[in-house]
Formats: sequence, C-alpha cells, structure tokens
Amino acid sequence: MSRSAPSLLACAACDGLSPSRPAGRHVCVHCDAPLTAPRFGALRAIGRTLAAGGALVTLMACYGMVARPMGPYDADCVSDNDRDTVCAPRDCDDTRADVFPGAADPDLDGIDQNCDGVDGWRDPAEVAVDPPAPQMIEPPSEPATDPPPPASP
Amino acid sequence: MSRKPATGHRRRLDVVATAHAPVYVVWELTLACDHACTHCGSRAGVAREHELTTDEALGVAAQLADAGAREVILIGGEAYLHDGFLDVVRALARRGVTVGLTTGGRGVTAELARDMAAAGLRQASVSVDGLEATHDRMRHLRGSFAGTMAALANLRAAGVAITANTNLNRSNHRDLEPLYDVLRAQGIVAWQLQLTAPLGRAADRVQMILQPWDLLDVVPRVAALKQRARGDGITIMPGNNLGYFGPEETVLRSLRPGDADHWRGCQAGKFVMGIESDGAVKGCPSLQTRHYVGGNLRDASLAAIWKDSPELGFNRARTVDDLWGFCRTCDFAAECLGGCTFTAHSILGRPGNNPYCHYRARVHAKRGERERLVPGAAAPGLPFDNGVFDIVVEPLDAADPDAALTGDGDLVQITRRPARRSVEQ
Repeated sequence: MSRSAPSLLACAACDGLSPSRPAGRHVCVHCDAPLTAPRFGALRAIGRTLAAGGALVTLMACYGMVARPMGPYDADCVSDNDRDTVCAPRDCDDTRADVFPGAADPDLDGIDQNCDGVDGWRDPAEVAVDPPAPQMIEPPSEPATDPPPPASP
Repeated sequence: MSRKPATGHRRRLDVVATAHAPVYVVWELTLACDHACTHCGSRAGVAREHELTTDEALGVAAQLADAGAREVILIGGEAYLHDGFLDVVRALARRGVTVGLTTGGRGVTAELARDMAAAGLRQASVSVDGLEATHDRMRHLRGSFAGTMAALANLRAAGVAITANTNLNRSNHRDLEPLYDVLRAQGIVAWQLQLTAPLGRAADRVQMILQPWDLLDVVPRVAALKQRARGDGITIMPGNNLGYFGPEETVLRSLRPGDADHWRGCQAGKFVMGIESDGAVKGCPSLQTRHYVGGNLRDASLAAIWKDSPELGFNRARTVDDLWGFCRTCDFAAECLGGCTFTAHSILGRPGNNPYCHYRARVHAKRGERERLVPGAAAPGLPFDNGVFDIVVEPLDAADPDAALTGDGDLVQITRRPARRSVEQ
C-alpha cells in the first residue's frame, strides 16, 4: 500500500526540510530546532515553484545546465514579472523571460537579450567597470597524463 | 527596437499540473568522441554501429517538436562530430525548440562556435573536470583543459550563453573551490555539479568514485559555494544525483535565497527523455541501456515509444512501495522516491535504494557509522553499463583503504571480466 507524500516543513535554524508528523513534535530532523510558521507559510505558498524546482534539476541530469540559464538573483527585487530571477531595472525587459543580463544574445535578431545595450554579444570589458581579471593556472611541473589517445573517428 | 515574436517557452515546468510529455530531451547524436575520458558513462570514443543518418535525425527532430519537446540538449561523444549536427540544430530551432549543447570543447573553434550560434544554438555547457592537471588526467589528454577554456571563450564570443558542468569524485573534489574561481573568470553564468556514478568507464575505476560518507564533506561545500556564487551572479545547481534532504537542501535546489525548492523524485520518462545515437529511446540519457531502452526510432514512432513502452513509463507510477533498503523507511521516502534512478542502479543493480544520499550519510554518522561501497561484479564493458556493489556498514572512523590511492587523484583500473562471465544484473 502506498503512502501519500507528507508535506514538508521548513526550519528556522537551518536550510533543511523536515517531514510533517501530525502526531509528534514539529522539530527539524537535522538540528532539532522548531519548525516555524513563517517559513512554513512561505513553503506552502510556493507549492508550484517547488514542483518546478524538481523539473529544473531533472532536466539538467548529468549533461549540464540546459538552454537558457537563469539570471542572477536581485536581493532587493521589487518586480520580476517574467520570473527570470532578474528584476527591473537590471532586467531591461521584465516581460520576457529570455531577456536578462547574461542571456544568450545572438547577433542581428533585433533583440538585446543580454541587456548590454546592443543587439549581439560584446566583450564585457567594453561595458563593465571592473571586468574579472583572467586567472592563470600554473602548468603542472611534471607531465600529468599519458600520451593522447589515437585520433577519434 | 523591433522585437521578434516570442518563440521560446518558459523554462521551468509545473510538474504537478502538467501531463507527462518529453519536454526535456537529451540526444546523443553520435558516440564518436575526440576524448577518451576515464569516467565516461557511455564509454564514448568510437561511433555506434548504425547511427542515425542526417536524414533520419532530421525526422527525429520533427517528431520531437511534434511531441512537445521544449528543450533538446545535443550530446555525444561529441555531437559536433555527427555530419548532420548543424542541420539538426537548425531544424530544431526553426520549430521553436530551444537547443543546447554539452561538450568537452576540444573541437569548438571560433568558426564552429559562430556556425552553431547562427544555426540557433542558444546555450552550451562545457564539461570541466578540475584544474588543469586534474582535468587533463581525467580526460586522458594533455592540453584538454586549455582546449576547454578556449571553447568557453569561443562560444561566448559567438553569443552563446556559456555554462559548465563537473562530475565530482575522489580525483577532483579538492579542486572544487579554486575551479569555481577559474570558471567565474571565464564568464560562465551557471555551473552544474553532480557525482561521478560508477557507470561505464567509471565503473572500472572504483577508487575514483566517492564513498557515501564523502558527501558529509562535499555537499556542504557545494552549498557554501552556491551561496557565494549568488553574489557573483552565477547559478550553481546540483545534478540529479547530488544532495537529497540534508540541512542544505533548500539552498541546493532553489534559485533564489529563501525559496524552499527541493528534490521531487526522478523525472525520467515523465518529462525527460534520452535518445541514443542509433535511435534507442530511454527515459533519461544516463539510464542503463540494457535495462531501460523502450524502443528504437527506426522501428516505432517517438510518440508510440513514449506512450506505450514500460521502460519509459516505469517512473510514472513509482511509489514508496517500489523502494527498498534504507530508502524504504526514510523520513523523506515519499518525496524523494529513492533519488536518481540510474545512479542507484549503477550501484546495486536496480533502483529504489540509493546510498549516495546526504541525509542517509548523516543518519549513519549520527549512529557513529558509515556505508562503504565494496565492488562485487564488474561491468561488462558496454556503453551505459554498470557493475554491482555491496554496501558494508562500518564504524565512522574506520580506516579508509582507498585513501592512499586517491591523494593525487590516481586512477586505478580494475581488470574487467570477459563479457561472457559478467554477472547478470
């Protein structure tokens, strides 16, 4: 006989979840802290997002993050109508989920997907104040590998 | 500014309310590869016999669009070694399917990157196995790391969004944090981290794979790195076989701070589908070929295979009653349903009991115990195959007989039995 899925409760002290046990105390299985109402309420309110999170992870199974990666999160977000995780004004089009800083921006399609002010990609060094410095990796002091395998077909 | 009509779809999917469909597809165009990676689950290198021709592949692309595929990730081997690679990208893109590529990057020249972008490729995930020495050792190719970095630069310059993916194991997990710095400097927007499961060639190198108690160290480090990456505008996400209901679960699975996303069970055959280069169809690209192929696109339509084959549908009615061992009695059994199917199968020969679980490792650790994977039957030596392990419970502070072999990422290959003597799984 199958058990139905229990609802999961959130912990105020850690980032874990705990199963609901109606007959028992609601304490975190990880740290024994109480499972608080504010996080519990938030958890229930985003039930659909929870479901989508499962799919989000699944579709990336072992072959890399697919298609359009999500943009960076804005900590002071007020409006994110397209749910691409980037808020206006950083998101230059808050009605399109494929438009956000860092998005793929093919040349000459008439859309500035990556919000850098031009259609198509351009070097961040041209637009960023402090572009990240390249990091050099010291070569290994000794040969690290066997000779390359024969040429592939 | 003129705007094209929106052709893409929202990336996230409501898996509760949506009818099962092959929305996310990973398609191995060819098993030919320009690497011979020591941990490759498909044992890629040489093309399969009877791979789909370009014309056949274009027919599959049309079927995928008709079946409701939103995103198709092309893999190999190296997908770009298939003669029809760009034609397939173009065909999918023209039908409104978002196309991505997962690649080792060795052959991604500036010209090829531009051609991919022009054909409609939106995103590429480059596989990076560690810092240069580690990466080149695991890829069995000196200079591979440099090629990977060049591929990232070429793709970015072509306007393709670049991400990275890394398999974590005992050969490379020490590189995790410094590798992040390297990839951040390359301009990635996302990084997927998953465990090297003992699948394919990795099943031949049992000292390479993590032991379950290693998750007590690795998972919190991934969560901490993810929080750091948020500040850099980079999304780190765990693959399907990393994590499971530890105290960092919501950090690992959520895109935004404060959200409470969590693992929802394997979605193979529900919203995910894998296609092998000879037309074989599975519910997930990493599932074991021998056990999970539901049909071949040369013999049946994609829609019929998806709808009718039990190998595709095994997950659609999975319940706690399908679990066994620790997973059957776990606090999170009904939500988790045993974690990643192919990973559990690669260890114990069938799904439903998965020792690669952070919560499970923590439960054992609280008891002063840990689980050790002890190799039993070897893998036959075929693409997407597996051996079988025993699980030994031992004291948490027991000596680690593999530790001396892993200090420098040594790769120790076991001698495989002749295929005819392989243990039936």
